[in-house]
Amino acid sequence: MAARPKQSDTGGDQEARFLIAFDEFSDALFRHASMRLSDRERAIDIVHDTYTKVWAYVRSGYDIDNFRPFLYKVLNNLIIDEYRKRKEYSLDALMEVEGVDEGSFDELSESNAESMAATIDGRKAFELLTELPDQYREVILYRFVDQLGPREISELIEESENVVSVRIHRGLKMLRDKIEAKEADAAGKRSKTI
Amino acid sequence: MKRFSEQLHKKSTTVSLRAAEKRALRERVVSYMEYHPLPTEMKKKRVFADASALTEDYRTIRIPLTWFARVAAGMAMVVFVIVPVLAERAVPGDSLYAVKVRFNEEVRSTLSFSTSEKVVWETERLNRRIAEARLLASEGKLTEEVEADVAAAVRTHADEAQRNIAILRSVDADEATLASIAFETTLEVQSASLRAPSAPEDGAMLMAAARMIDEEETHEQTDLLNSALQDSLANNSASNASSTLPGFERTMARVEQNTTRIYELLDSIEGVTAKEQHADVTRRAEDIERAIGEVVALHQQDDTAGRQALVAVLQRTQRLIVYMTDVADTNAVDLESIVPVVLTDVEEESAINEYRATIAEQIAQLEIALTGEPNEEIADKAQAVLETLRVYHDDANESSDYDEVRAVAEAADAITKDIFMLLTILPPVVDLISIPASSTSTKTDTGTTTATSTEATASSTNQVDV
Repeated sequence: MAARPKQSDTGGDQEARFLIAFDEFSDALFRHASMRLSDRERAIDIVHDTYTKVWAYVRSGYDIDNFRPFLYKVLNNLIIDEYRKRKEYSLDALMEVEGVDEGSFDELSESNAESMAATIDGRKAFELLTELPDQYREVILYRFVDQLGPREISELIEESENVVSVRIHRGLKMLRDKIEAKEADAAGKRSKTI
Repeated sequence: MKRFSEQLHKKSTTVSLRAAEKRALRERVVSYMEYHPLPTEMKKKRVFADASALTEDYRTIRIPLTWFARVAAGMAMVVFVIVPVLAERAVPGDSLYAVKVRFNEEVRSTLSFSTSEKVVWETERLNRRIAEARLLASEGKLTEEVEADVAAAVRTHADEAQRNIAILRSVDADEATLASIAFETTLEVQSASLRAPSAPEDGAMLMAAARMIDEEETHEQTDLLNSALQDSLANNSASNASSTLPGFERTMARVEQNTTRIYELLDSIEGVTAKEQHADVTRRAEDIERAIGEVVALHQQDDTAGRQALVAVLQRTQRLIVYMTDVADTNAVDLESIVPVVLTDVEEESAINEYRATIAEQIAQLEIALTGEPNEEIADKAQAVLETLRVYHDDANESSDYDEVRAVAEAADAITKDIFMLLTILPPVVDLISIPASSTSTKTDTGTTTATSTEATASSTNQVDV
């Protein structure tokens, strides 16, 4: 992580940099939290908690070079905590049910993910994101909304890059399936009405 | 992929914080930062990137807990450090005087653990009271009420010192005697400084005349204080009547301590006081060194005489210390009256010769003056004085004892001065050099501050003539 115990920076610099980080990333963090939690108010609280935690870290004497990954990491941890509190669905249970193996060759290839994505309408996919299990929604949000690279995502969620690629591939596949299912459903309804 | 990514990203931008939400969130974060500021060592300056949050229609005034801590620390600093330091300069009548006497001095008193330290401290407090009284008197602010307070304080400190000496005597007789000597000497010097008239400033005739009038008042004012000192002195002498001479070694150790202190003080006043004063004190220190050598020699021959002589030396060192620390600055009293110069054998011999020469010179001048004196009555008187002077001259030539010759020379000087007051010619230019200036100043009848001593002498002469 981009932090090291150092006291060379003056307090004034630290405060100024921290507030710049707020102005720069608070919207993106809120968007991510909001889309993962589907709760606007709670997302705001979590973004607030993210900043206060990072500030506490700064106060303890750490000099943070790059706030962005640090903020995302804290936010991610807080979202996981939030899921655990809700207990609507357990991550562990999801892991067991869905399972994440090393993935097939197709799933590991970035070009395959691209070709898969090319077949999906982004606007429709956005509407259906909330229907994805969190572990897929998480990586897709990081990849396509927050525009982080696979390596950054793997550091954030503490999984290998392969796992990240597999989850992106499967997430996109699920989205495509859901879009197709929705379209088929809509077509079926239309034909019925005709 | 690019298209999907763009579409999704574009769509997601519709989800964002509203301006009000963002402002509220920022305020929450900023206030959290204010409540949890960076540690002081990290915090050299506070810079907020955007002050817009602080320029709302309303503002919240926050008083952090650290502010209270700082104020409390500041108040403690003022109460326990700054006020006592300022109070040290207070004199009776000042608002901080009570802090000086009842807080500073009492704290120090409590910190003096041994009885001998307590005696030293009570003596010091007594010195302080008298120094304050002297300062007020010099400014003309010593009222009867204040003086009575100071006299009462002097008595209290003297009693306290004597009580501690009495306690000490039951434990360590020698230490008690030494403490008593130090205490008594201090009382003597202070008493002398209150009694003695101030030496007139060189050339400042106006000042001298003004001072004469002031002295009258000061003397009246310090009577009460002086009587307090005299009483304490008498009490101390009475309680010391039964005391024996302290041991030679211990007294010598104390003398050495005192001489070290004298040299320290001498170093500290170098360049601060007038050269003459510095030279005077240096001379006394040298006298003391010489006296110590003599005492050691005497002690080998006669133990009791040696111890007595050493006690006398100890008193001299003590007087010199008290003079240097408390009296010198005020010029209230001449050093000679407290610690007289002790002449060496060579100096004594040269002084004897000088006295003899002075008497001879006075005879010669009187003879000259006599020849031109028109008034027969005065001429007869002058002739009689001339005869007496010749007798004195013979006495001075016969004796080789310094004190005797000096006494004769002083007597000769006195009558010579008297007769020249009557004679119409000018007074002699020759004066006794080593004899302390006898009081030749005469007060004017008018009592105005503009009268000079020359005028005073002239007016006295005229009165005799008439």
